[in-house]
Amino acid sequence: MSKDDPNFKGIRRVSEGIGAAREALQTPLLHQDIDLSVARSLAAGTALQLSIAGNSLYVDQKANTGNARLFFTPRGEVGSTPVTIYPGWIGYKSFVGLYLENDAQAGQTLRLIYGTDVDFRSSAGSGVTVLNSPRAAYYDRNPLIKQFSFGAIPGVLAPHAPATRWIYTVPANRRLYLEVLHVWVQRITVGAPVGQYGIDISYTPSGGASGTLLTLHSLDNTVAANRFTNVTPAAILSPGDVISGQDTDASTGGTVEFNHTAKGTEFDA
Amino acid sequence: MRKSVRLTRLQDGTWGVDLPNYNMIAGTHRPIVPKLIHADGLDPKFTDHDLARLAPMVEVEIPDNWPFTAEGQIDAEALREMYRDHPRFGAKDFIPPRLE
Repeated sequence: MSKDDPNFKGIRRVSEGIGAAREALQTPLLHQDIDLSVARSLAAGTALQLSIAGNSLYVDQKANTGNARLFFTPRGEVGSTPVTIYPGWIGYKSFVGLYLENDAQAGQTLRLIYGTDVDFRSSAGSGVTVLNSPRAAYYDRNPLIKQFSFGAIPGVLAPHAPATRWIYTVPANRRLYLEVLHVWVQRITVGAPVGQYGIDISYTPSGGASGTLLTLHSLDNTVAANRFTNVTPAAILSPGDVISGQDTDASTGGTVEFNHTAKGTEFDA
Repeated sequence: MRKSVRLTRLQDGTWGVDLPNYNMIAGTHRPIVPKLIHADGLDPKFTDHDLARLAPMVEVEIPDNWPFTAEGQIDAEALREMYRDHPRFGAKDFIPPRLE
């Protein structure tokens, strides 16, 4: 018996199971490139008929890849359910002839890779599939390193009312990846009496209520008593979000060293 | 870019500068007024009345890529557009403080 599909000469017949590999029925990778710049519609009779057969499908994740809708119907019946396919999509279903429709996507193409009993496996790359075209990583999208910091040099402050030493608001069309927060306080000379002193790092989502992201306060009046915290928050701030650093010392007399810093990368949203 | 800006009481009750992005420079509060304003901040007893009377200033570092007018002041309309997602800094009635 011929191993070719009776309807498609040169294409191996659809098979099932591991036996296909043993019988050498597994095909090499075949592909068809499709220009998506012109709209196609099954209902309008303009769908693209693909005279291919197999049971394994994969949409290549090359640049400028668009999306389309695939009908597993050999005769192109209107009303059958389409499957939306996009870069990285993998499908296993026996097919003998397919129809494809798509919206007009200027400059976009789609490479449909197919075969029989080809075991496409998703990889780390396909886990981050993006429709239409792959985007650069955040650190490659016009990045700006942002550092917000307050530290008195030599770092000694008299008692003071709560002060916002630094503030950062995410501009329109940008985001901030917040990478590091650091806060440090140290009593230098004693207060008489001591009052609460410390640092707050606050976060306010755009239009939302302010909350404390990190706080470090003390009532320790011992010279050289110090506290610090370092955090790697890995947080994403959206346009209009605000992060700020405040410090205060409610003591009477005495001095405290304060240092608070945030570091992040601002990039195109 | 380092500039002097007038201090104000911010919405969260702390003392600061009414701008969407700045880093305050330590030791630059002016004028120095015993028991009310020292180089690194305002005394805990400092009031809104003191603010109006003494108009304290502080030096801050602001972004070099902000929009500025030919006079060296912040372009209010362009800044509002830049921070249009923020309910205050993007609002039509927000006027950034004068730089000195």
